[in-house]
This record gives sequence, C-alpha cells and structure tokens, in this order.
Amino acid sequence: MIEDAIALARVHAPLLAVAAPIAGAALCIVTLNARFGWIIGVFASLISAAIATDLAARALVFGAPLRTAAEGVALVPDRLGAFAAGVVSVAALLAAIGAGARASASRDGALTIVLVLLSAAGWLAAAYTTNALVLMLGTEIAWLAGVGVVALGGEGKRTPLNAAARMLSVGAVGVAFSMVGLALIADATGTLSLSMLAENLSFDSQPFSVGFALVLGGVALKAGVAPFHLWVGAAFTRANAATLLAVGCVSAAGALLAIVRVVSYGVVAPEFGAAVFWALAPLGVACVVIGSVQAIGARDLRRLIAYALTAQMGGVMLCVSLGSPAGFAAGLIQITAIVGAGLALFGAATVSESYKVNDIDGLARRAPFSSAAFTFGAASLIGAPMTIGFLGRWRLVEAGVGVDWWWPVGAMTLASLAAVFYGGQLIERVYFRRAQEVQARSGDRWRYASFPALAAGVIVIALGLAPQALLAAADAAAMVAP
Amino acid sequence: MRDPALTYALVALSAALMAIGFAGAWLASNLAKRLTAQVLTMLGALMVCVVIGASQALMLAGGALIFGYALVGVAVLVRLQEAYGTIELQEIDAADAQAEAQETTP
Repeated sequence: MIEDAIALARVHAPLLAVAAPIAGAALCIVTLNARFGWIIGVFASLISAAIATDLAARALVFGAPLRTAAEGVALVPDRLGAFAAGVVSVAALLAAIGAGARASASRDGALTIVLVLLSAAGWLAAAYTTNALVLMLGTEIAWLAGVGVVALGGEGKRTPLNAAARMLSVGAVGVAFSMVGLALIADATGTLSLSMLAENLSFDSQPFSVGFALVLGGVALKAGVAPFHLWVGAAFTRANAATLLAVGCVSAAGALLAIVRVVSYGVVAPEFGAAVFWALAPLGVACVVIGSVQAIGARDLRRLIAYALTAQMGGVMLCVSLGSPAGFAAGLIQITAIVGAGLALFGAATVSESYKVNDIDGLARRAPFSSAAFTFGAASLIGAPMTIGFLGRWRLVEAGVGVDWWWPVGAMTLASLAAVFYGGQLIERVYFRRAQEVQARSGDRWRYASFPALAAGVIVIALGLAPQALLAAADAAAMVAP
Repeated sequence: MRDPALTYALVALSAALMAIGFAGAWLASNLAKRLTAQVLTMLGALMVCVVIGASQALMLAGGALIFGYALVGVAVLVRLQEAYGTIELQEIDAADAQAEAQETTP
C-alpha cells in the first residue's frame, strides 16, 4: 500500500514538487498569521525538497529513467531539469526557514512567506518543464513574487520599495524580450517544445537566432548578470533575510539554471554553437570584471556579497558558452557553488546582524558560527582548494583547455584574484581586526531562523572534500546536451 | 494569407510602440508614467506576437503577464506614495540618499 503510494508519487514527482509550495502559500494566505505561515511554509518546502532531491538522486546518481504520468496534467522533466530542481528546492527550503526571521511582523511577514513559496514554485516549474512557454511563465511568476518579497522587506525602512520599482522595470523589459523571442522561435520552428527545436529547425535560422538571443536576454536580466544587474545594488542594500535568501540565492540559482537549460537545447543545432559562444563569452567576461570591481568598492556588506555573486556568475556564462557537455557540467557545479556561498554569506550576515563591512570586524570573538560561515563562503568565492568553488573553476579549466580555449581560463584566474581582495577582506576583518564600535544587537531571536543557512557553509566544504556524487550528477545532467 | 508589406508595417508599428515604451520606462521620472510605459512596452511585444501569428497560448500568457505586472506595479506605487508622500523618482532618490547619509553620520 505505502509502496504503491510512493511509486505513484514518484511518477508525479515534478508536479508534486511544484504543487507543494503553492499549496503551502494558499494555506498561509488563508490564515495570514506569520508564525503559523512560517511553519506551513517550512513544511511545504521540506516536502518539495524531499521530492525534488529524490527525483534528482534517482535520475542522476542511480541512473533511473525519468518516467512521467501517461495521462492527466504532467511536467516532463529532463536530467538537467532534475539537477536544477534539486538545487533550487534545497535553496528554497533554507530560504523558507530563513524567512522566519521576518515572521515577527504579522501581516507583511505572512505575505513574505507566501511570496517566498510562490517564487520557489515558479523556479521549480521553470526547471522541470521542457516547454519554453511554461519556462517563461514560471520565470515570470517567480520574478513577480521576488519583487513582492523585496517590496515587503523594508523592516521599517522604505528604500526596498524603490528597489522593487526598479526590479519591476527590468522585469517588464525582460517580459517584452521573452514574448517576442518566443514568437520568433515558434515562427521559425513551429514549436515551443525545447526538445523538438533541433528537429524542426530549418536553414533559415535568423529569426530563431534573434528569438533565442531575446529569450536568453530576458532570463539574464532576472539572474542579475552584469551589465544587466541594474536592480541588484538597490534590492540588497537594506534587504532582510527573506530578500537575501529568496532573491539573492533561490532566484539567482533558478535564473542561471534556466539559462543553462535554454542554451543546452539551443546549441543542439551546430550553426548556433558559435553564435551562443559570441553572445555568452563576452557577457561572462563583462560579468567577472564589473562584478569584481563593484564588490571591491562596496562598503555595504549585503551589496558586497551580491556583487561578488554577480562576478561568480561570469564563470557560469563562460562555462556555458563552451556549448559542450563538459562546459555545462562545469556550469552546474559553478551554480551550486554560487548558491552555497550565497546562502552561507547572506545567512551569516543576517544571524550576526552585520550590515556594513566594518560590522564584521572581530566577529570571530562574538559570533563563531557566523564567522565560520563567512570564512567558508568567502573561501569558496576565492576558489580556495577543498571548496566547491575550486571544483567549479577546475572543471572550467579542464573544459576550456580540452578545446584549446585558454582565455576563459585567464578570465577565471582574474575572477579568483579579484575574489582574493573582497573575499580575503571578509576573512581578514572577521579574524584579524578589532571592532572599533560593537553595534548593539536587536535582541530579536527570530533572526536565528536564518541559522540553518549557515549549514550551506559546511556543505560548500563537504562537497569540496567529497565531490564524487556531485560530479557524477553534474556529468549525468549535462549529457542532455549534444 | 498575409500580405508581407502589411506584416512588415505592423511589425514596425509594434516595434515602435515597444521602443516608445522602453524609452518612457527608462526616462520618465514619475513612477506612474514609468509603469504606463512598461505596460506599453509589453503591449508592443504582444502586438509583435499577434502580427507574427504566435500561438494563442503565448498571447494569453502574455496578456496575463501584462496584467500581473500592472497589478504588482500599482501595489508598489500605492506603497511608495504612502511611504514617501510622492511618486516622483528624483524626490524618492533624494529622500533615500538623505536617509543613508543620516545612517552613516556618527
């Protein structure tokens, strides 16, 4: 009986993983009680994460076929989507737990948790589908929910509303790009099914190329890839835990993984391989340079972390621009590293209530766990050995050298050198400086809700030390590409 | 059977609408005007879809997204008006800069 139920659930796993946060959000909005909503939200996210990681493990580590329901509503995932959903769902679980730090404020707190759940559901739907239209819809639902999370994230300050307005402007441009792009792709191929693009593509590929570039641009705007990251500084400067974890980590991961998936299907046609390379490689370099410069100059801790993650996204763009399974696998590892470092750093900033860079001076004496998370996250950003960040960079070097492609290796070396400045600065301040003035903590114990996010720091190191399962999963997922 | 000249003209018209909306969304200092310009941009994109002959599903999804963006945009505008007493971007930015300066001054 139970085995039959589990088997049935596994057949419908993608749909259940998306439906669980939506059901949780519906329950939260009925009650509009922040603390009850938080419990529901965490429970729904836990179910979603359990289903998504089970599916990812079965498909990618144990090699089980991806079966879907033969009738009724069904999402048809691919292996890359299963990997993406696994990463997004775990990050969403930690974000939902961390959003409890906002649960002290009643109505807005409950609405924040609803929006965090809807954002997760949107990115999961985008990860599981192989239809470009559903991918766009999932992305936009998640983005709109993210705008709401930012708008409600004021903690008594009004600046996040300004940031939400900026995000809305950027999102609207992204929607316009995506709509026109999808129309052009459908016109050129007669389908919006990603898996059927190559079969239906004619030699008259110009509309497809333009459409493909527009769709990629629309998603890149939402990932916060430089130079399209106009909203990043404003959104994170006075952000609360929910914004930092849900928008800074879950949305970034969801959008980056969507880019990887779209490109993996786009380069099925060989003539687009070069075009994709010339679109993404300069973007990757720009991202590394602009993000690094901004991170080095930042004085606000949350903004520094956000710009550092933007710089790391350049590495993902470089990996993906290779257009090979090795490149996609390197990109997946790099995204996992970004999510892990982001969760650890943003979580540590929230738990220790450190908002300016000099707030972390001498933090090791006052908050050892947060300090450890800062250290692990910063070490991964630098690409220090025995971290997952190192693994991502190593795989990119392997993939690049394999095709005699040296300059992205140089770009990633530059990214690591820059990261030594901003990441090293964090470690140096935490352990080797004395606090000039210790800020009094708010005494709000709900900030400890972000504590589980610190575990991401441990995961960053654990996956760096024992990477076999992650490498196998990334390699299996990347085989969806030609 | 579509007349190619008419199709090109309509695509150009839709693209012009998008461009006008894009410029407005970038340049307008009043956030209500900016939101209107954003909706224009998306409507222009929807018109391109219609002219190209995109599927009904795409057009319906596009319409729903435009509605969703407008709805969230109005909600943010109302909150901005409540919080700042204005929806002029320059005044909002000035108020934010002043608040930041007060925070950093010991």
